[in-house]
Amino acid sequence: MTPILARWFVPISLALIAVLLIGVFRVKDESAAAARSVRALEAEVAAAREERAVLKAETQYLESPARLEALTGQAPPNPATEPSERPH
Amino acid sequence: MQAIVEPAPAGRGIRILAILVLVLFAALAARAAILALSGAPPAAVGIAQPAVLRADLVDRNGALLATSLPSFELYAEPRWIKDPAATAQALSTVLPQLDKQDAIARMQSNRDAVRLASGLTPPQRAAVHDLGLAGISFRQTATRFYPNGATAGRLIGRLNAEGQAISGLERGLDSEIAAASAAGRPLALSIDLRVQHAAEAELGRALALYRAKAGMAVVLDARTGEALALASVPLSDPNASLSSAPPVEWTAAAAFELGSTIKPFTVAAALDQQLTRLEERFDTKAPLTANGAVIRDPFPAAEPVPLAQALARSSNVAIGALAMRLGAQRQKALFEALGLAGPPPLPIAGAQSFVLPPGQDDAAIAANGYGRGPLFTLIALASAYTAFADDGARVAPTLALVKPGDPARRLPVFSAATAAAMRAMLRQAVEEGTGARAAAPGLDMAGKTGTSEKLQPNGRYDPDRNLALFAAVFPGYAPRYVMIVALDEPQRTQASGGLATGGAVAAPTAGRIAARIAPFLDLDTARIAADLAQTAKP
Repeated sequence: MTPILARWFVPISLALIAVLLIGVFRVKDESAAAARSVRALEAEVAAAREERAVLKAETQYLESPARLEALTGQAPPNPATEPSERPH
Repeated sequence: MQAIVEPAPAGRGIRILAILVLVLFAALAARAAILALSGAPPAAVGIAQPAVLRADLVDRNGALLATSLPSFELYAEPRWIKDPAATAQALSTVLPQLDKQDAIARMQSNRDAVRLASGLTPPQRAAVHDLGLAGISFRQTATRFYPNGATAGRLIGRLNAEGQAISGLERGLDSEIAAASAAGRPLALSIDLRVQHAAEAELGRALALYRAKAGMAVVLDARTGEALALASVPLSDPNASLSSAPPVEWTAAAAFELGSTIKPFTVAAALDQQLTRLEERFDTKAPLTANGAVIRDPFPAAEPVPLAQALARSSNVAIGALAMRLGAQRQKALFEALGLAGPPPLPIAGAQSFVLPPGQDDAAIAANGYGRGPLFTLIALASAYTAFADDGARVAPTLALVKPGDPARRLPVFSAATAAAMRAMLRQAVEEGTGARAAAPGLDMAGKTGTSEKLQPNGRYDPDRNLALFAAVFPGYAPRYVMIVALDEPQRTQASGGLATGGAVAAPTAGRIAARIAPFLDLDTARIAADLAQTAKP
């Protein structure tokens, strides 16, 4: 082994291992952070979907024709809702 | 002394090895650096799919008819609960509807987990969660919600407490809804919520005006067969809990004797097969005898009347005679071609129609011809009337949204000339016949009344109990829609002019529905506006 190579072999190796460790640590850290943010976004999307479904139902309830007609004050009394009975 | 420096025997090998190790480290470092700097995740992150909710049902314009909202069931694990009474007390502060005694009893059981409540909304779940109680957990489920309440409730149907579809379209379209759920899209129906509500509201008014027991209406697009409204009152709210069998949509689920609304088919078939002519005159004073039975008109005309007038006056004598000319076989074929026989081809509970028995005598054939005897559904009657709307072919009814450009399945019944002649006759029946009260501004209503008396247990027809009907094709100048209105057992009231016939109660109801839904339909609005302005002038 040439003296230069012998003298620098250990420091260079240690430096490379250090670079390697830092690099891998950063990768793992970033991927964990990305996974966390994906989970947070998924939860946000699910919550927004639920909220949207509730709001859509609420909107249709508020806009339902029978309700609007009743609000005009001109509606005839809504025909009573009764359990099933065949009209005979 | 000379030191003897000898190269290590394996020096060359070690050097090569050292260089190889260095190269290896360099490669690994480079790869690590690339991964650290590129920012791309090293592996795909598993994405959790949210639970699939039952798809929404929407009307033809996208208005929500049925939807699934997230809800939660509240569970307790008794072994973790030290003080059931305190837990129940705490829960009742945010769930006032909770039965405390029942909850305590459940929490004292020795089971692993007990259900304390269901149908919790997301805010209620959050409130319970914030109590920080031990041994309390949740399970996500869904609640089916019908935002329009009772509107179209019978047609849409409902789910039971376990979330299974038990009636109406929820049940009939269960597999289509499942497919839509998987695809993450709503399922669109042919129904127009506005038309449906207008029909229900006017039927409700008619029930009050004429003290009828029930009311039914069908509005069909005569080009595509799409049902815009299938309405039955009294209504049924699918959000309300159920103590008996789920209510059904009577326009498909009940079959009736349809009385004089059947007469135009007999006339059209007789015209089509050249068994009569428009010019033929009928003496409605002379009774018609068929197999010993004597058929008379209650209000005969003084002079013999032409065919159109015989229909406008709804003469049993004239129509009975035409039915006898047709004969049993052609009559049966006619009803089959019109789609009156058999259950309606819709994904909801349908009634079996009455199948005409073979070898009927003349009296039965005559009676069939004017609507006495066979039982048909109102949706089938609506489909049969589409034969008068265009060129004599009828379209089958459907509850599915038909995309523009999709060819409708047209089933030929009459010739185009016969259909045109029938339209003129039906228009005459409204202009000067029994259907006069169906007039609606700008719509030139054409149609036929029917007053179908009910059979008593003794086999006689009851003059005081009937199904009052009106079958309409409109607008008269370019027929596009068919409407059927039926009122069950209307009374003779002041509002009906002391009568309880189809012309007195069903025709005006049909006129009111038509006037009210006209703005939502594909019609010549300028013409309607002009007609309204004309009638508004003194």
